[in-house]
Amino acid sequence: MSKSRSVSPQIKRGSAELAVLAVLAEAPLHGYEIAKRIREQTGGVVTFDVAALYPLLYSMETRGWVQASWEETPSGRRRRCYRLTADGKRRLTPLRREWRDFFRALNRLARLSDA
Amino acid sequence: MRSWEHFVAERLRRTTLPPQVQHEVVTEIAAHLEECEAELRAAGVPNPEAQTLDQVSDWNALGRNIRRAKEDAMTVTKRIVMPGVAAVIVALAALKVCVYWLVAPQPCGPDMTCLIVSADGPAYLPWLATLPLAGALAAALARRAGARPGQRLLAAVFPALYLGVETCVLGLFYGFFWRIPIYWVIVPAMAAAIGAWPFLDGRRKAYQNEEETVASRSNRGVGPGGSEQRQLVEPC
Repeated sequence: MSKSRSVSPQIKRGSAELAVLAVLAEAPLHGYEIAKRIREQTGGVVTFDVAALYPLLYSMETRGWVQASWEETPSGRRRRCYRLTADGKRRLTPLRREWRDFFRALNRLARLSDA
Repeated sequence: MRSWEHFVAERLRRTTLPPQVQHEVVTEIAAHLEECEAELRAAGVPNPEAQTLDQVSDWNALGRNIRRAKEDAMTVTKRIVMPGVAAVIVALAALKVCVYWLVAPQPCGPDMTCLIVSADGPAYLPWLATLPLAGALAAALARRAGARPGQRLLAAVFPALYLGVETCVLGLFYGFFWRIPIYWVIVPAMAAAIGAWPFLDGRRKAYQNEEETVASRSNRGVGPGGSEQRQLVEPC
């Protein structure tokens, strides 16, 4: 297998990054909405609790993949809204490809689509 | 309903982030938990508070993970490497001064004199006495940059780490002697650590004090309350 098609060893972390970047690519969201959107779009298969979500969001913010800003909701609540940066978009493209390759490889191996 | 902001602030108070960042983290996570509880309550789920609490099983681990996530390479450089390099410069300058004033050149070849620096020579102890100052300087600079106590200590012992690397490199050419790492790495590290000692606790207290102020500002008179019982439930 060529190097470009190999899957990163940090697959678990990568899957979380993919999930968050993918929902933020659709629209800017605050933390709770990110978790909710991921849960809804995966039919509850992928869930993020506070302990998993915020360290990941802060780490992505530090790396410049997402940008956060405080916004006030009509009800007066303050929310920290995350949006994808240009760096985040650049990160998402190879991540998607990597995961697609990974699932194709798993499918060839275990015939997941026939199961 | 529980005051989530007070609850989260109490559990993350040992995170030692800068107060403003800490306050933002607390506000954000509290808002998340509040929204989660409100949604569960609206859905008629039994004991929504306990289910919301299930979002975090180990608050200390969450605090550590948040702190790590907030620290980028630049922060580490600013907090450890730069104060450490300052300590190395001070320690090497002090060694140079001590050698210049206290070590007499000795003949080491035909028409040649050398300055021989050793642990039992006249410059070693005076130099050692300057290392607490270098350690104190590094720890103070690191504290000012927002470093945690462990990071301040690491910055303070940078001169010893530098000498350790130098010892290893020289050892490759001249051979290793058991006394060298003791006198030029371990003892200097201890001397620098002694100087850093008064600076290992200060900012942490400052953070906590400021954090308490922030927490008391944000605590709108709602007590902790609520049950700690847990259920195995799907997180919201």
